[in-house]
Amino acid sequence: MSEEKNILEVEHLKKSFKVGVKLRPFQALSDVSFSVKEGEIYGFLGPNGAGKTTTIKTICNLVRPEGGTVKVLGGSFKDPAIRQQVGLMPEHAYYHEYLTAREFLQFHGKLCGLDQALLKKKIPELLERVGLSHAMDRALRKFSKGMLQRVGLAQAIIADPKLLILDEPLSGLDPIGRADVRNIMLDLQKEGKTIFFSTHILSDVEMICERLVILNKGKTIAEGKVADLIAPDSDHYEVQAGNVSPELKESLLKNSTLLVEKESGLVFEIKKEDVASFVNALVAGGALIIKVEARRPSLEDVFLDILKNTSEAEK
Amino acid sequence: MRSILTIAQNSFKESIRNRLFLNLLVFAIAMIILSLIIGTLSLGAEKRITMDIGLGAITIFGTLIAIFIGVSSFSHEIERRTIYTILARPVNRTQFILGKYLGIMMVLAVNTIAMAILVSLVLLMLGQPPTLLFWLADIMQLLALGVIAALAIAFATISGTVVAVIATLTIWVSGTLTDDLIYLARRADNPIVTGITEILYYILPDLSSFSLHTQVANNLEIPGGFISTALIYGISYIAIVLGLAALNFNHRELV
Ligand SMILES: Nc1ncnc2c1ncn2[C@@H]1O[C@H](COP(=O)(O)OP(=O)(O)OP(=O)(O)O)[C@@H](O)[C@H]1O
Ligand SMILES: [Mg+2]
Repeated sequence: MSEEKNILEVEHLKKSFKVGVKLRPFQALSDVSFSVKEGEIYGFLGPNGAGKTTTIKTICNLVRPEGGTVKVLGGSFKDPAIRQQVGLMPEHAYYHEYLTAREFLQFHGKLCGLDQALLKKKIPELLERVGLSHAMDRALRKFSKGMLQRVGLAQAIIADPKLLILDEPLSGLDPIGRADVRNIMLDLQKEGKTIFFSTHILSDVEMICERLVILNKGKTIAEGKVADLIAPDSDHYEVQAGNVSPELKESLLKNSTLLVEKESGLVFEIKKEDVASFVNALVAGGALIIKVEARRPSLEDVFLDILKNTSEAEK
Repeated sequence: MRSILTIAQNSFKESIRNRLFLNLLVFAIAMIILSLIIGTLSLGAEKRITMDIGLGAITIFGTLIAIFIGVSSFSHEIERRTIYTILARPVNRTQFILGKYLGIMMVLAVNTIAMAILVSLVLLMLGQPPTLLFWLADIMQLLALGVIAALAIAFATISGTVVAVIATLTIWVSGTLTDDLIYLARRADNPIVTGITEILYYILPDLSSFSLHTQVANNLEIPGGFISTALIYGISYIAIVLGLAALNFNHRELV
């Protein structure tokens, strides 16, 4: 059990779909590569339509790749013994809605070969863990979106898988729900499981992953440590201040840009070296300082940055 | 084997919780009772005719269930994408098809037997206990439904709900007409028409080979070898259809 063992390995994956009446090929994946090591929470980040779900479907043998290779736990997902050790949570909670939460988990438990006695004990624990003990005997049809996400997570972990493949596990949840699910993911990692999950939200990845891959238009554009790829941009700061008089604002704008202007306050972006003088000027001008912080990049910032770097590297 | 049973059980559960199925069932029960009563009153309470009417109703509703519930139980899994998590389990696609087939067969068996009991009860109330032949005809009818259900599942593996339902309905109708079809075609002069019909005759299920309606209606003996021929024919037909369905479905992309 070395730390370096690859649990999931995807190399140069390619896939196109035939679209429209003319069945013209559309390249959904043109070159996707990454590898997930044992025991990590690995983020799969990309904007809508980047090809995250298509990659996951290819990994799970639902669609056939046109090129490239996928290795799951050192073997193929086609092998039932490998599938026994993987938990999948698909996008959009595609589950049997006529079943109750308990029946749904029983069904999946039995498909994994778990026996009735074990399931009887395990299912209530599992539902408790995902915060659904109150809805055990309710039909999934009557579940809210967030509840479906939770029951989906429960079915993914029912057979104690080594690897979890989760397609947007945090979407559709309220802030408390997001925190709950993030904590469950962290706990699962502590239990030794490897988690591969997709998202289009940068902060999800920053909060729980060490490494990630960024996908754009069917192509891996970056892979590596979160700290290296999406470090906060410490060259720029954001300062929020209230009670800024028009004259003060005029003079401040000489070495800053105004990001937001609201009644409650203004948000300026300034360079790191100007922070001290800027804050002094605010205080002298009688303004109220609300917040000073290093600017956090958005997903677009990270993209632009990476694209800029790669095009510079190509030159 | 266990996963096939688990899938079948789940499919059965879905069907009996399905509104369409419940509506069909209520309608069927009402129709059976009504037709039996009207039939008995107007045709002078002849037992063989009453049994024939009951058998007819069982056949029609069984077929509708085999086609509509058979197709939808499979295509729902694909269209609602519930198949994703199932196939992520140690279950292969052939087992999935067999599980789905077994599920609809459980529904059909329960349904056929329940309706036959219902008809028998009505007959008893009318003072005409059903014959053994009536029950035998019901069981053979279940075998015919097994063939239709296999076709329904097979079509659902290659197309969407609507197309699969239409295709299975078409085959059912032509399957009940095979004898007439071949008779007409053999009299036609056009060799192409004759040739195509001849081929169709062997591909289409010959549903008359499962039917004991005439025997029930006229209180005749069962022809020699009828049951063994029907069993061999039905089971091989089902096996071939499901085998081809599995062969094709194993290569299908589930997007
Ligand atoms: N079955 C299909 N037929 C045609 N095009 C498809 C099909 N599935 C996906 N695509 C296309 O492939 C691209 C990638 O889609 P995919 O669902 O993988 O994106 P995603 O990264 O999961 O996006 P999201 O964040 O919205 O879930 C999209 O442009 C989509 O339109
Ligand atoms: Mg997606």
